[in-house]
Amino acid sequence: MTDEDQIRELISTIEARIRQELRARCEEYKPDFQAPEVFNVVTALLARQATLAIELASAPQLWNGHSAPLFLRAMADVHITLSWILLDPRVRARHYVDHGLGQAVLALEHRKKERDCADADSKKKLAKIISAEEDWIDTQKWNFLVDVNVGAWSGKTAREMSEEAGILDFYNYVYTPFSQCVHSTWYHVGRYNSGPSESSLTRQLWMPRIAESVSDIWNLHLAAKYLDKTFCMFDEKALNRSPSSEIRDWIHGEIQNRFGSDDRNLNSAAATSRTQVEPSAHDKTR
Amino acid sequence: MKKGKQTRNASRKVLGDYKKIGTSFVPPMVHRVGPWDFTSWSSQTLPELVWWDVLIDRGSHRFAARVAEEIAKYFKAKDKSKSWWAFISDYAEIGIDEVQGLKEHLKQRNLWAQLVESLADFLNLYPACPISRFLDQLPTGIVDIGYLQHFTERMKELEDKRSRSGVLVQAQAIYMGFVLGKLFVKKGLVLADFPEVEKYPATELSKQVGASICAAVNMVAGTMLPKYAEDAWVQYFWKRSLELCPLDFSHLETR
Repeated sequence: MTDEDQIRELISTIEARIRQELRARCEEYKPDFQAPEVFNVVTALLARQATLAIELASAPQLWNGHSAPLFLRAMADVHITLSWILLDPRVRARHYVDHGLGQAVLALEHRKKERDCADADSKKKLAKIISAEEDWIDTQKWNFLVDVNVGAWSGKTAREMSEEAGILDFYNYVYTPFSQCVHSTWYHVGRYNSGPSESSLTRQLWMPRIAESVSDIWNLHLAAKYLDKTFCMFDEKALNRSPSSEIRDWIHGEIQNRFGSDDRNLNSAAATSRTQVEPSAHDKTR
Repeated sequence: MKKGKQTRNASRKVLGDYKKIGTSFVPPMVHRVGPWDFTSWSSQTLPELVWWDVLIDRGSHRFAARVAEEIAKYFKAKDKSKSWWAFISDYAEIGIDEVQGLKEHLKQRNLWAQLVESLADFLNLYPACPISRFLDQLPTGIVDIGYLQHFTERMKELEDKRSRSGVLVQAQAIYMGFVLGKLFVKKGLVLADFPEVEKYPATELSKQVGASICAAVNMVAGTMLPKYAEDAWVQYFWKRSLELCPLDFSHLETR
């Protein structure tokens, strides 16, 4: 078996394990018909977290400083959102859905305006898109009765939500640093996409670049870690039992079993060139 | 399209007719007419009226209409409450005397036996249904898998409140309102042509009547039924439906 085959097999196994863990939790979680939206939102966010982890795990070429943070920051967002919703699920799940419907209505109104100005051919295509969007909204609430809230869905910042959920450290050490990549701030692009020109005569100018950023298995571990966090939080807050997700440790074991201590195949140059802000693998407290 | 209209459309602001309150844009139907109280057809009103579809399905439209008429006639003389006796929840709190009285009334009109037979399979699916109180023997609770599948298919059609089945079920409630003398319609209004609903949706008039019926039932449900979360029958209906048809998460493990 080639190295590539081995990696593919590992990825396939990781995906199967994540799907299995997701399914087990969804089966264990009982809906409350007095507020069915709680079940709908919570399981959707669990599935979202699993999806992000699977998608990142499935693409080793994205395990680098350019791309992995896009997924990891989204995972941090999901974890904060779900943690906050579970503090008062009936009220907050409803707000979450209503806000999402409002976003859909806003998108719909933009499409309608686009249609009004479009040529005959485009009008036809847009009409189909609009009809599909309207149907999706109307099955939940008539679109003409939906408020459109352009502010934060929770009425709070991510920081405030994290603080209330008791995970401010997670916000400070995970959400915020990865946000730099997501928003392409100077903090990120000034390191990954720019650098001072080489000549002292042009030192004031920085040259654009696409920094070399090798695949680092550390990013896979982070994805697994955040998935574990979310699953474990769900175990405690929603299933009222002790947390039981150990996907990260399991992946570590799988890598050891399949590749031994030789990290060549997985591009684990992390020890010398790691540029992530996350603490080392030994720190399992966050 | 004329250039003038195109220009007007291009300059039309997205959400222009919404009212901005803080970070929210409130739609015109809400800020001009509202506030609205929402009643869900599929989540609440449908489970409350579903027994009429069972009667229609197992008996006939004519049979269901006769049952509706006789129940309404029975309560017209006796009952001063606001209830129309169309919803299942209406039967949750009535006394033993009323239960016996209604049974006797329906027996005398040769409707009782067929009513019980028509509802038998449905009540076996939902043994704690308030309508079970009318039976001489409690439902066995034995689930007929074939009927369960059939019922599930009927529910699928009924989810669309504007389907023929959906409208005819709602028509039962409106008919009872008329018979009870609790619903009056001004001449000239579409609902005055109520009998046309039999042809729904084949004629234009029947579509208008159907739409009026849907609107009227929505209003009646909104005023007469408890809030969704407090509607004991509906809560039981959905919990029991989940027992009958457990969620299948196997798709989560398949790519």
